[in-house]
Formats: sequence, C-alpha cells, structure tokens
Amino acid sequence: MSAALRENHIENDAMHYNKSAHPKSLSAMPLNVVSEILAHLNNIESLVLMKVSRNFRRAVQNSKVEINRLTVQLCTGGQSSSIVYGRYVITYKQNNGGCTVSYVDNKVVGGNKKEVFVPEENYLELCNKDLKLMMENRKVEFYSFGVSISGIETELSKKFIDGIEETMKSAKSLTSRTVATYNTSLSGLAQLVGIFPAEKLEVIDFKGEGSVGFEQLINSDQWKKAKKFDGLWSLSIPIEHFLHFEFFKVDLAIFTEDDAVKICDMIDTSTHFGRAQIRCNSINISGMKRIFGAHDEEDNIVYQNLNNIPFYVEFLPDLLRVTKYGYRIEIDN
Amino acid sequence: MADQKEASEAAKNREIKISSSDDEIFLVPRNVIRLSNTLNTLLVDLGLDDDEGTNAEPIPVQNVTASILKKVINWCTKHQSDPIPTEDSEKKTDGSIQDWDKKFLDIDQGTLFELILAANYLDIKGLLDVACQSVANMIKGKSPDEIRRAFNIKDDFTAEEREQIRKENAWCDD
Repeated sequence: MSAALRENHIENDAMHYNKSAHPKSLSAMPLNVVSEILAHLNNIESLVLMKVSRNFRRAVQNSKVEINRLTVQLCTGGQSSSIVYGRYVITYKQNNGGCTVSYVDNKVVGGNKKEVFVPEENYLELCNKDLKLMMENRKVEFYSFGVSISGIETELSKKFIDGIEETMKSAKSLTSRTVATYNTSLSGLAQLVGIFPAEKLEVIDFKGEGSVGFEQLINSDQWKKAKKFDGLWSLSIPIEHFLHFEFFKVDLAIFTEDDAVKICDMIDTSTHFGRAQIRCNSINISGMKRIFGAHDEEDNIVYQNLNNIPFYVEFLPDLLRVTKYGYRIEIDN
Repeated sequence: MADQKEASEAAKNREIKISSSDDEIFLVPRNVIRLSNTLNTLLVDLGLDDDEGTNAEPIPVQNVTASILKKVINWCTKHQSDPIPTEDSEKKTDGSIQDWDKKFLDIDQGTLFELILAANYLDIKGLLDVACQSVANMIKGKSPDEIRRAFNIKDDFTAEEREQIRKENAWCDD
C-alpha cells in the first residue's frame, strides 16, 4: 500500500475534524466533544452552562434531558412554588415587590444553600420560566413527573397547572413512565397525564379525592393504556374503570358486593391482572368473603381462577386485597 | 479455542508503526491499537491487518503531536485489557474517576484539551469518556462567572440578553 494512498485515506477519515488551530478555549471544542462533556453533568449542572456563553447555551439546548424524578410544588397559602429535582430544591417565594429564589443541594454537607432576590418577578411565573428553560425545544424523558399542591385548591391551582402544561408542551418530545399528583383534582390529574404520550405512561399516582372531572380522566388514552394506578384518599370512580390495570390501589367512597363480583369476574379471565387493594370505610367484609367463597372465620384464602391461576385474597377491616401468586410488587412506582 | 488463543497472542506480539504530526515514530502493540476505532479501521481498509509483521511505512496520525500521542499510547497500554465500551455503556454523572486515570489526567488544561481532541480524532471512547469527565468535574459546583474564568470563555451575550439571563435560574449566580 503506497504512502500516498495511505495519506489520502487518512485525509478522508479526518474530513469530519476541523483542522484549524487547536482550540484554546473549552467553548471552541468540537460540538460532539462539548456534548460528551455535557453527558457527564446532571441537568441542574447543565443549566449553569446556559448562562456561560452562547455556544454553551446552544449546546445545552440541543442536548437530551433525562430526569429520574422531578416534582413541581405550589403552596397556595404561602405564595411559594418549588422545583424538586432529586437532591436539589429550588424555591420561589413572593415578597417585597419581587421573588426570592433559593437553592438547596441536599447532598452537600450543610445543604449548599443560596438565596437570590429577583425584583419585579412573580413566583409562579419565574418558576415556570426556569422549568421551561429546562424543557424548551429539547427531548425530555422522565421516569417520574409530579405536581404537588399544598393548601386549599383555588383558581391559583388551576393557573399553576395550566402553566405547567404550557411549559411541558414546549418540549420537542416528552415522555414519562409515571405521573404523580398530590392534592389536585381529578380534572387536574387528567390535564397533566394528557400532556404525556399514552404509549410510554405506565403509572398514574394520585393522592387526592373527589369525583369532579373523572369522566375526562377515564376517557383518556393515558388512563386506558396505563398499567398501574396508585390512589390515596377518597375517590368516587366506579370500580369498572380500574379493572384494566395490572395493579391498582384505591380508597373508594363506595364499594358494594356488586363491585366485588366485577372484580371476581375480572380475575377469572384476566391475563394481565396482578394486584388490587380496595379500601372503603363502608365495605361489607362478610359479603366479600361470600363472593370469593371464603368462610366467615377465614381472613385470607387462595382463590383459583378459571385458568387455575392462584390468587391470594385478604379480607381485612375496611380493606380487600387480591394478589396473583408470584406477582412482584415494585416498591417505587 | 486454541486458534483463538494463538491469534490473540500474535496480536499481542505484533507491533504497528505509527507516526505523529511532527514525524516521531512509535511502535505500538496491535492489541493496544485496537482501542482506537480510527486506527483499527485504517488497518483493515489498507489491508494491513492481515499482515503479521510490522508495517514498513508508518501510519501517520495527523493532528496529534508526539507528546500527546505518547500520552494516548500510555493510556491505551494501561487499558488494553478493558472491555471495549459500547454506546449503551451507562453514562455517569457522579464524577467518579479511577485513581490511575485521575493521576494520568492531572495535567494542565491545555494538555487535557489536546488529549480530548486526540481521543476524539482517534475515536478512543474510553479515553474520551474519562477525559471529558475530568472537564465536567472542573465545571461542577461553579457559577457561570467562575466557569468563564476557569476556562477562559468570553461572555458573548449582549447587554440585553445578559439582563434577561440574569433572571433565569437566579440560583446559578454567586
């Protein structure tokens, strides 16, 4: 192989590489190298780079966002909001004609706390702006995305959720395995799960109560395609709307023997069902036992479905729990 | 299995001649060369991979000086037995670097950048990964101003942009 041919081959291989003088600055590095460096920074650390230079800002905006768990919080009575991202908590609190932004890194001994006052800014708007900086025009993947509201739900809650929806929709693409809400209405939950593609959403986690807006929720593709529902507090949703889930945990305002029959019928033929837990203050445990073929003195039985698959059924005060043998319960949804 | 072992031994014993951009020649074991996808591809494409001896003409490694190429070879020699990382290898953002690599990368910033560019050009994924991690570790925990000073980066935002940016993620600033 001649030297000339070898040189030519190497020239071709090197075409992708800029042969100008070696950069003396980090920001002048090839884009793929900058991207490689960004891959070693978490999302919060990357946000700092957005304020360094135009090149870094562009590089961050072109990078993918992968977040394990992020929660946006509103305290209606305290005029404050927060972004909770793993070990980081960023809080926006309204006071004295502006907004105080505080930052805590809980992994650092002593908390690594910072506090900055931003004049003439509203705490909700500033929170949304910062969240949008993280999301806008980027491919975003959550393992879990959450919204939490403390205090009485008001019009402010609706405004808060509307802002989050707008922010999330600014992403180039968006997925989440779990959507979790605390103290929102069912319509708020429906609005939030509707932001995310149904194909990727597996878990709906709802810590709330009531029935307002449940029709919107149960008719959504996200509800129909999700695998798990984890609920707490009192719901007023008919049981049949939970029977497609692999796993569901609910506190119901009403749970009748007819409802138990529906569960029993589902178990008899289902190939997907793994576990259900139904709590209800007015539950008739004796009636439940009768439906599942248990004696009054039995607190738990093994129920064989029509396909001879065993299910462990527990009858507890105010609670019915059914678990398919061998079903593995993931502690952290 | 015996054939594979013999082939592996032959690869260990065979040396490839390469030259730096400033014409210094290095003899590098074939088994060390394998960490560079660029050089691996060249050897195959030029038909040199089937040869058993050392190539008569050195393979020129343009854009990499002798001092940097020596470092690259040193790193590859140390890591020649490591499994080759794949695209699916987990990215680490915890900043951890093995002790040997940490000591190896305890160099001035300019040399580190040269090393990164060489790893990028030669497509040595493991070296690129750990060198970029080293840079990332220098960035972690710093404010935007501190990052600019640390890496001699010009603040090229307009005054108007700077004012808007100041309000963004206000917690970033000192």
